[in-house]
Amino acid sequence: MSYARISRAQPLLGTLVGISLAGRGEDELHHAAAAAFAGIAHIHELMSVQSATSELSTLNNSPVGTAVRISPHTWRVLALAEEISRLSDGAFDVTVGAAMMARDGAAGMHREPSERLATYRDIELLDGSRVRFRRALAVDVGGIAKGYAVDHAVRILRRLGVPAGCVNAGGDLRAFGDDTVAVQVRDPDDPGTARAHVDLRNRALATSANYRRDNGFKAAGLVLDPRAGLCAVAQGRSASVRAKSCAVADALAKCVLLLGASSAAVLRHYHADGFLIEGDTAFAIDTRLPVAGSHSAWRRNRSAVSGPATLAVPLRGRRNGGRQRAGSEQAGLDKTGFDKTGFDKTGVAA
Amino acid sequence: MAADDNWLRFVSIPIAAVAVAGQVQAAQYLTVEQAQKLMFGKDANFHRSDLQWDEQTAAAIQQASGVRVTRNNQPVWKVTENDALTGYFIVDEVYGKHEYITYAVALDANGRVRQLEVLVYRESYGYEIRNPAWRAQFIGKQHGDPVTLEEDIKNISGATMSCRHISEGVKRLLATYDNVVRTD
Repeated sequence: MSYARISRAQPLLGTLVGISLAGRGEDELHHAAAAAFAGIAHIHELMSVQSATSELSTLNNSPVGTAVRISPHTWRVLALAEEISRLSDGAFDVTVGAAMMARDGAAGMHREPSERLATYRDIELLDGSRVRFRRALAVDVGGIAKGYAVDHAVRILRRLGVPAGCVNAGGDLRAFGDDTVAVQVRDPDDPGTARAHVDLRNRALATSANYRRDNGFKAAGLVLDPRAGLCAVAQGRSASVRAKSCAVADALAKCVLLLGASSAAVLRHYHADGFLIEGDTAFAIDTRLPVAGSHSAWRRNRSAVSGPATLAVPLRGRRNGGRQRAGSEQAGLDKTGFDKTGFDKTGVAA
Repeated sequence: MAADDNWLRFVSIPIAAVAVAGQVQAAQYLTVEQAQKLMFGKDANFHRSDLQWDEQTAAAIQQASGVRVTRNNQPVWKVTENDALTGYFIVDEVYGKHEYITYAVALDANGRVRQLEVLVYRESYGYEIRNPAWRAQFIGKQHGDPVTLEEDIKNISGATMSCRHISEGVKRLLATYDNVVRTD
């Protein structure tokens, strides 16, 4: 029996989607890849906010208070988004970007909010694949739908009997089957450099960041801070999450980006892991320990978000290739515990 | 952390460096021949012609597509099966500041896009992408022989490549089809 491997790539979801498959028979694998690409295109057609005719755009234009029947795919994405919004105390919220844009335009994002905007709580998920808005709002599922599209593709591939492979939508990816897939995570300051190496097996990985604009790559979408009404995430910080599903990884990456170490609880809920890279520091979120203060403490003290460096180990001299462990100089680090956080792996040369 | 505690390593290394100067990440998906078979089936026949056009036509293509036209030639394969025209196969390349993509487009007999497949994707943080000599080393191969790179597909998580250049390339190819290929 012959063993085949194929790799294909198509421009979808506003990025390059790659599918690598292993199994018996090249023709079968190509057939399965084509079906998976079609599945991804279908999800994109349903949930694109750029397209005025997508299901999501139609939903966004529906009258307040009216129950609207939507596809099971879009309903499922909204249901998962609602759950993650709840568990992250609103750090993830699909209603916020569009609402802020509508109110203030791009230039207004740095203003303090003067009125309450719609939140995820204003979306009512009803049975029969229906949804109702309690007030005027617009949903943008850009922070979760790409991951969902990857999951959908994996579902199609498995149903067609593909034993192993990987679907990668511009860096949000999921490996399935017996293959271990190596992934490099970009330096948010320097896209030519990898700052983390991840071995994925039957897991998804997604990365979110506000990348600097001048690197020739698309900003992964402006990440807004839903509760402050601000564009809160500094450029040059990236958050990655490993989870079972790519939709969860995609959405949780935004939570880690905004909440830093306080994202531990929501990560733990989904048996997910996360890490942050910012400047010379890189650190894993410790999901085993209770975090000092719940993530609602974030509301009282914004510095908890803007200053994850208090929990980080600087990778000193990394630009010169040096990777010393330098945890002890960092004030406050001992509370987290150097050896418990996985930082010891920073000392391992690639 | 999950049970497999070795899943994550923090590193600081160039992304998939394969070039002497600069950093090049390359992924090969399909060869020209593979793409042809995939898009039109094993029984299709491919007849290559190297289309050329004058400045006036280039301006017309640019006008129609809204995309800058920098070349005055394009190899296009006419595809037939049992002597009947089934479509056209075109290989094109686009490049941005850091990325360089070779892709193939299948048009049906009426010139509508039937399928698009990326053949080779490269990104570089050196000077290479902007260097015509560097790009030229791939061009000769793409329009005929299979492109062969030794690299495996690398997965990168982080800043994503925008596919704007591919969309622009397709617009340019469709305008090229209208101006140079179509016969009706």
